[in-house]
Amino acid sequence: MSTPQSLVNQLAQVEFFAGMALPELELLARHAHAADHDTDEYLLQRGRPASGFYLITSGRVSLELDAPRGRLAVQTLGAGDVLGISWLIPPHTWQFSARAVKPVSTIFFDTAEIRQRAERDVVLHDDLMTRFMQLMAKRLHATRIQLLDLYQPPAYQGGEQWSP
Amino acid sequence: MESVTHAVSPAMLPQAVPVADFQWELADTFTLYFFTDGEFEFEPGQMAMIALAGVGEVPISISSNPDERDHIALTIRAIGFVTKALSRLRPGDVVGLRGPYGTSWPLESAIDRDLVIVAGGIGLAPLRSVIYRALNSRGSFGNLVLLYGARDPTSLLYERELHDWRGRFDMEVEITVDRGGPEWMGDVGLVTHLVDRAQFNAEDAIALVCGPEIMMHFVGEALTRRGSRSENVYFTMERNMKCGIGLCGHCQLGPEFVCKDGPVFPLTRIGPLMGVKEL
Repeated sequence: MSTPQSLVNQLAQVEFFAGMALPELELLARHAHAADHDTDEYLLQRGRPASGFYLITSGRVSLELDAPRGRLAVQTLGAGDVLGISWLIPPHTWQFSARAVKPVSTIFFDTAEIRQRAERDVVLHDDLMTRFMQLMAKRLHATRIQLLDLYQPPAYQGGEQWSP
Repeated sequence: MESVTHAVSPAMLPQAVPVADFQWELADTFTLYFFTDGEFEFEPGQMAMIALAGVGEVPISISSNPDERDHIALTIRAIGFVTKALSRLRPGDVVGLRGPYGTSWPLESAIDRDLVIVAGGIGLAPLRSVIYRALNSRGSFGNLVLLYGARDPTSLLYERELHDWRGRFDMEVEITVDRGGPEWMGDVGLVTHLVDRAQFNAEDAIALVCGPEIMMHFVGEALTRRGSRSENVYFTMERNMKCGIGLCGHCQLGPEFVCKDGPVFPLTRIGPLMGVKEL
């Protein structure tokens, strides 16, 4: 199957794929297709099989958990962000749901074959793992900072804090 | 506001000034307004010392439009002894005011360049005056970007202005919260994530940042990753102040007096001090 060169070029410009070798970009492009999603459409649903990942090219996607008091957004992703990590990790089911909060355009990568290929190709495996590990580390870092509750006022220690 | 007018003097001694208006902004944050008769000129980023007789004095950044000379506004979070007492003031009550003090945002260096304003929580207050000034001479700047992070949707300061600014065609306003409830339709996540996707020329833009120090540290990193030069990034610092004029040393941060040498510092000067645990 021929690979549209324009998609390879487009991927090469995305920070997540920066520096990726051409054969790997071509492999990804062969298993990619563009998709549009209306507002409130779910891109991922928690508990369903994780069969790939998205590159968001425009719009906003909310990563969510359903809770007794309604759905709770844990992070919002936008253009240039990669959505979907669970395809890499057993049991390969989505751990969060992802919903378009405004019309979204994406490129979806079907990873069924890519994963099989990566199991045989150490270089591809390492490259994908490194990129997704960096993505996971970045999100873990952000989550930890969110947990710090930075915007709460510091504990009163006998002196007056300057406002802000 | 009521029509009581008393001039605020820029002299070093506190001037007795009645509160012209009082407005709650958030559950723990309020704004005091004072008439100035045009005699209290300040630059965006500067602060005033506000005193309550028998209670104490605190430095508060000035959050009003610097080009509206008839009044000033001080937005204050009630977190300590003095600020909680200030939160009980009402129009007509008298306070002591002196100032303005400290350095200002270097808006002149942003002329013909993109201007990126990054605020966290109540850190929007010291930046509101610079937003007003930038909008008053909008044609002097390239892209004008406000990136604002808050704890949750109920913690968004100056909500009316945020709506107004967001409705403009000549300003990009991006807002994110750490915790969005079921009704929140906006972004959830760190303000640093907004830095990654905002529309500005990072190599040349001037960035003005105010918020908790840890947040400013990570915003500085995000700006650097985007390609910003550290000499173009400015932080405003918060320390316990007393005299406001660099004499008492309460606000000393290494070799810097935050009240006199700051509160606005370039990242090149303040960055190395921010990671020092003892400071």
